[in-house]
Amino acid sequence: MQRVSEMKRQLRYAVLMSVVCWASVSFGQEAQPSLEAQPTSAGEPVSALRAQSTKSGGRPVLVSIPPLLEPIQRAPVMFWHDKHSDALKADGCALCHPKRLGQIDFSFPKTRNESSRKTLTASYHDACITCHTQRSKAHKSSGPVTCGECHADKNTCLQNEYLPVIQTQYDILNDPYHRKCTTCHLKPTKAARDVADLDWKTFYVQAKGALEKKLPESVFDYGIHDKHVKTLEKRCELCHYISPVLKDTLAAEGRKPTSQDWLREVEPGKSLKEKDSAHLRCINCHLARNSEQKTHGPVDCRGCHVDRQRAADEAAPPSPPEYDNKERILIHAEKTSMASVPFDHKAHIATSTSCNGCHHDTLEACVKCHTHKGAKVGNFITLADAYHRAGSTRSCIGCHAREKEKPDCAGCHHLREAKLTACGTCHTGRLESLDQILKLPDPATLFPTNLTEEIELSLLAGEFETGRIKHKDIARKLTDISNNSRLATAFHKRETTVCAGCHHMGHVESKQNVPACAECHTVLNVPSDNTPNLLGAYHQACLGCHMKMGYPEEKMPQACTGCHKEKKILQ
Amino acid sequence: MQGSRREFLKQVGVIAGLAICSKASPARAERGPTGVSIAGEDQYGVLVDTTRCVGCRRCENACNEINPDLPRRDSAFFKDQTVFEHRRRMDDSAYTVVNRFCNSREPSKPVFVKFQCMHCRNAACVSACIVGALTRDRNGAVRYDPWKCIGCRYCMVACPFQVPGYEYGNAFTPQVRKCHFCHQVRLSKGVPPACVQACPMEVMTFGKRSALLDMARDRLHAHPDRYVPHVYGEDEVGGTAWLYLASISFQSLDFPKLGYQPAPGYTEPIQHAVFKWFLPPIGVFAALGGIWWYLSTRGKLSQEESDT
Repeated sequence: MQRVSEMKRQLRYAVLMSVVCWASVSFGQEAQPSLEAQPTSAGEPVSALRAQSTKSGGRPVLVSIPPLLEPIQRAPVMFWHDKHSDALKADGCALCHPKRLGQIDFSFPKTRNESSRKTLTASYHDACITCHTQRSKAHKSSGPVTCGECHADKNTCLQNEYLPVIQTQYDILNDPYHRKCTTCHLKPTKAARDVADLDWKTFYVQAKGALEKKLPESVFDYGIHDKHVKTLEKRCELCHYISPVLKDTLAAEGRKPTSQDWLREVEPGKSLKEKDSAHLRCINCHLARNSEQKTHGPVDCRGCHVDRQRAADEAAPPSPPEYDNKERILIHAEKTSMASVPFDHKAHIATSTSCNGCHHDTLEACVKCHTHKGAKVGNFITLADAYHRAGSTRSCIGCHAREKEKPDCAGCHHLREAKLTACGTCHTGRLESLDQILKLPDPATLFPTNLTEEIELSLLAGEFETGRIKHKDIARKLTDISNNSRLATAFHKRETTVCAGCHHMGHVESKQNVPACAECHTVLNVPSDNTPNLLGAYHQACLGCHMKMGYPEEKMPQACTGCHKEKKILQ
Repeated sequence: MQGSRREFLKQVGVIAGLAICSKASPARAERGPTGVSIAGEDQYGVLVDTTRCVGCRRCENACNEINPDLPRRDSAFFKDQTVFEHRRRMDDSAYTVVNRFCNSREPSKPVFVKFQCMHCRNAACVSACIVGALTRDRNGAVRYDPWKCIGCRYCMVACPFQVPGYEYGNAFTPQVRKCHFCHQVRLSKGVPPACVQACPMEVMTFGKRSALLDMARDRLHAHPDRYVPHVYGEDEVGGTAWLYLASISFQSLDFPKLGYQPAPGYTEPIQHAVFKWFLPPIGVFAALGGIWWYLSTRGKLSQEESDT
């Protein structure tokens, strides 16, 4: 008996020792963190995605989710429309899309049953999967049939779509003064879930509207409008609409409708600015003309939804459609203290290719949809952002920033910080400011004594001989560029503006004292601020400009000797 | 159970052991394997702005000049632009290399990137080195002591950036070779490394890591169109001393996609816990011994019972 109890005792110790062993190992280990999905360096420009639209197969479209199907339980489906239209060209659009009243209604599917969530899902599945199954049975190229192949959770296209979408929805992320999610949140998806109960499905549903705008917009610039006008022999009523009320007014006044009338009136439920009616009306017309062997426009996605904004100077663009807007406008916003901005509308039409490049498809003034605080109709973009956002193609600042990136301008402008400090340049409050265009004089006349032919940079001469800059030629060339550019002459308000391209801190006021580089950029490295040392300053200024302006090959940086010869040192 | 003093003390000992082991600390982020605080914000770093690099290779030239144990090369070697046709790696003849990449945003302007040891704040090589030849300075440099090295090359396996090179050609006294941040003559005095000073475009900025991060963010804010909004090295594998800015995605520039956890963050807690005061091995042997004893005693007991 005693042996048994002693045995039990020893057994107990053995168990306790194992527990000790286990405890030390398990408590010794850190709670294993899960490798949070690495934030992609999501700066990949969306244009890279859009480039896919020119490849075969086109660019996928996210199948839109009607409210009936929310909340979605599976990943949204990426649909390659152009792959389908290419493969099924012989069958035509009517294979998948229903026909109503002789016209193809581009809704999907043919047997769309919206009575309940179940029936709607079934409509989609029946249409797609049946076709795929039949084709694969007939040994033709086919598509997926299982759930996960269409509703692909890990679809990289999907991930690429999300980040731009999330960023547009949450506008502050595009704001340079705010940061990427992961700057503060180590696990952003977890934070989103914890704080606001959001996951990617919710993001998708909320950002649906923004996502649909991410498709390359259909290009309808002045040239295409011109083509329509010429081909259809100026029959505006084929696409535009005059309401009966307006017709009566015109008859009473005894005048023909002006372009303003045509533009403003919208046929109820048939506005060409809306996707569905645009598809219905445009594509059906093209198909009809195709069957009549006449010249017609595109019938597939790629034809219209091409991210190709024609350059303003591409082979003498056709003139814009007749309009009767005011040519010069004083842009004024209510309840602000900033002075109004004079705006030369006529000049901007001359340099643009389409109305909706600036005006979206609404063709309205900015203030109509963009409020101070941001409204749904304006996609939550505030009025200030609409005018000033540097990343946009539509805002004043954004478009001008793009212009400044062109080779002619980028040489000087890349050195200057993009700050909204010169508010008064635009906010003058007077229309007469539009007349103040400055043609810069020859810099040699401004600085008759100091503007030397050549400058010698000998402070750092060591491995290389002194560098020589053809100062006068450079100054003259830059002045010419400025004087030839309408944008530049409107904004370069000082005679010495062009000098500031290289002598970049502050304005060059005095004709005697133009600061030399070495006065601010010391020879020693100053690690605590953003000021390069003298070596860096010289090279960043000179090479930076050369690289931006596309300087000739022999002066390119790798050939250091292009600018300064090598010293022959006895070795 | 029969209570006796001995039994009581044994129980207390067991419970105390449990209690101590439960406090066995997970590897705290602040203290690295050498005990030197790695979260110190006063360490040095270098910010590399790849949008400025023009591929002149003067950094490589300066590194070669300043390190006498590298094979001597004259400056003509570094003016050769044909080396960019192939991706190069750091090896025993070059502590730093510059590689050229296609720029998807502007195809006519390739991106040049300088690679060298990243001097991670919680370096994998330091943790992996079984003899402690690689150590981490407070200054930020990961230094190598050739006298301690035994040539096992675990550091080469451990490094997530594949940095250390090895003198395979040297039969008798091979060494691991990697950038040492110029710690002996320059870093200790707060002077920038040779490559940083040689660069004409000031691609690299030297300073305190915290100041450089602020500077990097300022640049990202000031030029949102120029950069991908990410400072590589800020948090990757716990943070590195060498920080990078780029205009295209880092993955297309041959930067590995890494998590935020320090590289030794997974292995060290296990290592440390398994040998904490040697208790777990003792525990294992005690358990095994206990089981053996129990089984042998049971055999004897049944034998005794069958005898009586």
